[in-house]
Amino acid sequence: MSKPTTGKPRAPQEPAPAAAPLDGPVVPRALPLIGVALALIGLAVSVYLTIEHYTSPTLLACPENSVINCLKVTTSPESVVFGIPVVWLGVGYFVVMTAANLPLAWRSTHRLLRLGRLALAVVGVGMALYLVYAELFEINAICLYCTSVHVISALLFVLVAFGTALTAGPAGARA
Amino acid sequence: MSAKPSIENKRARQRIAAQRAADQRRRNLIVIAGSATAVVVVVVAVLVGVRLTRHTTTTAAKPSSTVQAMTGPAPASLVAQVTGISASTLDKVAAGQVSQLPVPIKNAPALTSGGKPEVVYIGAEYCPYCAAERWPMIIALSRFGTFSNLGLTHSASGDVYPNTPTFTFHGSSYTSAYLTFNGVETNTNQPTANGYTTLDTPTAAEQQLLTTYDAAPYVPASSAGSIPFADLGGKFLISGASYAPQLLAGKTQQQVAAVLDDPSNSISQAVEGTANALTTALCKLTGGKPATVCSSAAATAYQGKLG
Repeated sequence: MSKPTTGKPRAPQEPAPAAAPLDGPVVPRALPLIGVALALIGLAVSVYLTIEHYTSPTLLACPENSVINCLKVTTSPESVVFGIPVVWLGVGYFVVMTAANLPLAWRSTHRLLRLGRLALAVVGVGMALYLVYAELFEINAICLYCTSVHVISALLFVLVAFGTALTAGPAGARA
Repeated sequence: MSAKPSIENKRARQRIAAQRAADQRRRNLIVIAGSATAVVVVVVAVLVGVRLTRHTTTTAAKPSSTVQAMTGPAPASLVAQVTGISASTLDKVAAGQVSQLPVPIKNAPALTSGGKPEVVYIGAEYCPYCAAERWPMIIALSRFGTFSNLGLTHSASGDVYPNTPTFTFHGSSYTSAYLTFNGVETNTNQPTANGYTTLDTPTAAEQQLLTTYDAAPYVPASSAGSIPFADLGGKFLISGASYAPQLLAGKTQQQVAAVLDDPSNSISQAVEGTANALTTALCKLTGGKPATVCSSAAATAYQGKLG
């Protein structure tokens, strides 16, 4: 039911409160778009690496020379962390990141969601840095697919860090 | 005068103060985000920088696996054992177990030398896939001609499938009435700061083959430049290993050669199955000569399957 209009001039509206607007933070349109795109690309590469991991890693479509060697990386001891293949961690990470970067998720002021997404981005870039270290110093080989996943993780971290800052409400708000 | 304006002014000031505080907090968070990004960039730069400047002494010092494949000139008895596998054994293996077949090259000029179809192989001694591929290449080519001065080597000790036992084409020669063969080993298996010691340099024509056919659309763009690469007379190409080098892990050349007479052995199934696929391709180059080879069950196992 709509309120009947009185015909009186409307009182000047109170400006929208600066803190915790009811509609959630103002989210730049590109933010969730880029986030979802990056996460989906990362997911696609991770799924490919997972399929190769369980089928025929020798057929991994990747040039092989003294520096680049995907098979050496994907079959190394460092490809398993806490008993879990890194490829599975990648798939899980990018599935969650895809959901956490949807426009609805970015508009949410839910503290747990915002902090969780940021924490996940930090864990992702931390894992990427560890794996870069492992490739360069432990395995002595670079995997092109893995490197693309590392770059995407770093870009997602930058996006989420700046996105979280840009969409932050005042201290004490739910955001 | 009522007190209402002063209350509104007070609220307005509070709103402005809250707005400023929020803006300040946002700026602070942006600075933190920028700093965190800078830290990530610096960490990556340091890792790459240290790796580029560091000598790969750890790789060089790595112990080899327990069973060490031989290096140096190949003993005549070993060469005879590998190149003299009986036709009946190869026939029994027939298609064997091969994961990757020679790929036909469409609309390419014939590759010939001295009036005969030419086979060009480009690989490296450190490369385990090359190590695997040399076995069937030697077996198949030996059905059309004779190798001399083959050497023994193994793939790099610090690479995947370390010390895969194999031969080397470096310094070898091949004579045949039907084919010519050039084997190029670009690097040894001895690591240096930036890779492996350089060995053979491909000729401009060989390099051109690699650049042209070890690239899209002949092979997937993502695996362009992979070795081993072989051009079989301009009609077929090989890019990568035809079977997993893991099959040869932990064995010496003699141990591999010893099982090649058993057609049911998994190594024979892979090595000789690949050799038979190569033989099928080579028979297409030679026009079915020699007939004794090209009409055998081994040489026809892949008839119609190579495109």
